[in-house]
Amino acid sequence: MSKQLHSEAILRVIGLNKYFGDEHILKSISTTISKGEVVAIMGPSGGGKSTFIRCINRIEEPTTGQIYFGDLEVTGSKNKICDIRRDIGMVFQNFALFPHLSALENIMLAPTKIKKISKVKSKINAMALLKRVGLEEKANNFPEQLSGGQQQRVAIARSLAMDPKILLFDEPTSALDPEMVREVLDVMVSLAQEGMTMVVVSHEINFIKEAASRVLVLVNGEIIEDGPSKQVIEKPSHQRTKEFLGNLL
Amino acid sequence: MMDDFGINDIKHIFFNMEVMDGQWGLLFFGLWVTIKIAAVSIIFSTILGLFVAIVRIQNSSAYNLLLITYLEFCRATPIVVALIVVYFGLPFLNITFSPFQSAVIVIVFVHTAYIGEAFRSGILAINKSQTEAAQSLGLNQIQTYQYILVPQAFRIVLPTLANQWTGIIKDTSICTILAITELLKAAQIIAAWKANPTPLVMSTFMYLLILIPLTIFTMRLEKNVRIKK
Repeated sequence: MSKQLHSEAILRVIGLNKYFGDEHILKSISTTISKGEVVAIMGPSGGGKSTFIRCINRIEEPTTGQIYFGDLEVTGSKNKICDIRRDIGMVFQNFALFPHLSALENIMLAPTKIKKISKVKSKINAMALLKRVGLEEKANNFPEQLSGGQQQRVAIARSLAMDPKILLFDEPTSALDPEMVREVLDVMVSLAQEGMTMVVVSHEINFIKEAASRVLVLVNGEIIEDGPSKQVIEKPSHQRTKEFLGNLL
Repeated sequence: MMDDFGINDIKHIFFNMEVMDGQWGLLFFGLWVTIKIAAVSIIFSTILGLFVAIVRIQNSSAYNLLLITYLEFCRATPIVVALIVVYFGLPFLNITFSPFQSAVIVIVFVHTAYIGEAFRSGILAINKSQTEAAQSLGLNQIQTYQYILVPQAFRIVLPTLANQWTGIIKDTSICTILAITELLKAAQIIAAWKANPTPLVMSTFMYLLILIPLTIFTMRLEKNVRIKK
C-alpha cells in the first residue's frame, strides 16, 4: 500500500456496490491502483472478482459508487464511456476474438475504425505486436485455426494495439490447457516488466509471485486482504485467505 | 405404341415449340420485369429486415409492441390480399401507386417481417462476449453492429436468407393480378392466346434461370464463410 503514496493513481474505486437482483455481489469496494502496479485479484469463485473487474470499464453497470480513471469518471455520463474504454484494455477468459476476422484484422480493427489510423500504419503496428507475442507467422489465420493459447496471445495483442494505459485480465488462463498457460503468462510477465499497469483476476500462484506487486483477496464481495503479493501469499493475515490459498497449493 | 402416342401427346401439349414461335420476346420481357421487381424487393427487404431486427433488439417497449403487431399482421395476411389493398384500396384514400411500386411495396412489407426475424435470431445467437470485447476496445454501438455483429449475423442467417430471397422471386408472380406484364403474366397471355400451356412450362424454366444463379451465389458465399471460419 505504501507504494501508492509516492506514485500517481491511475484508477480509483470509491464505494462500489453491485447487486444482481437481491444478491449483493460487491459490497462497498474502495481501492486505488497506481501507475505501473500489477494487481492480482484472488478469491473463491462467486466472490465477485469478475464482476469487479468488469465494472472497471463498465461493461458491467455498477449499482452505486464511483470509479475514476485518471481524472475521468467511468461511472459518469454514458456518452464518454467509449472514449474512456479506448485507454482500458481488456482480456477475457474465453478470448473473445472476432471469428470472422483474421488475427491481423482482429488487431487492426480498433485502431483503424476508432483512431482512424491508416491501414498501412496500423498493419505495421499489428505485425510488430504479433511478433511480440510470438505469432508473426499466424497473422492471416482465423481464430478457429489457432490454439487457445495462441488465441489469447492475439487477444492481448489486440488490446495492446489501442495503446492502453491499463490492462484488465479476467481469468486469462482459466480456459486453457495446462501446457498453454505458460505461453500466455510469459507475455503477461514481460508486459509487467515493461511497466504496464495491470489488474489480473487469476489463481496462477507462480505468475502472481513472479509478476504481481500487490494482491487483493475478494471474498463474498469484500476485500478481505490487500497487500504486497509476497506478504499476502506467504503470510496471509485472514483465516479465509489461508484456507483459500491452502486449497490452491 | 401406346407409350409413343403418350409421349407425343405430352410434347404437343406442354412442349409445343410451334406455339412459342415469335413469342419468346414477350416471355423474355416478362422475365426482365420479374428480375427488376425481385432485385429491388430483395435489396429493400434485406436492408429493412436488418434495421427492424436491430430496432427490436435495442428497444424493449413501445417500438417493440408496434413491431410485433406488424410481424403478426404480415404473417397472417395473404400476400394477394395485401396487394389488393395497396393497389385497389389505397386509391380511395387518394394514395396511388403504379403496379410496379405496389408490387415492390407489398413484397417488401411482407418479407421484411420474415427477414427481420431471421436477422434477430442471428444476432441473438452471437455470444455476448463479442459485444463486450467490441465495447472494451472502445467501439460504440453503431460500430459494434457494423463491424462485429452484423457480419457475423449475416453468416449465420445466410441459408435462411437465401430461402427468403427465393420466396421473393416466386412471390413476384402475384403481380399477375395487376396490369403488369411480368414473367407469369406474359406466359398466361401467350397461353391464353394460343390455347396451349407450353408458355407456362417455359416460364417455369425461366424462373429456374433466375433461381439457379442465386443458389450458386449463396452457396459460394456460404463456402467462403466456412473457409474463413
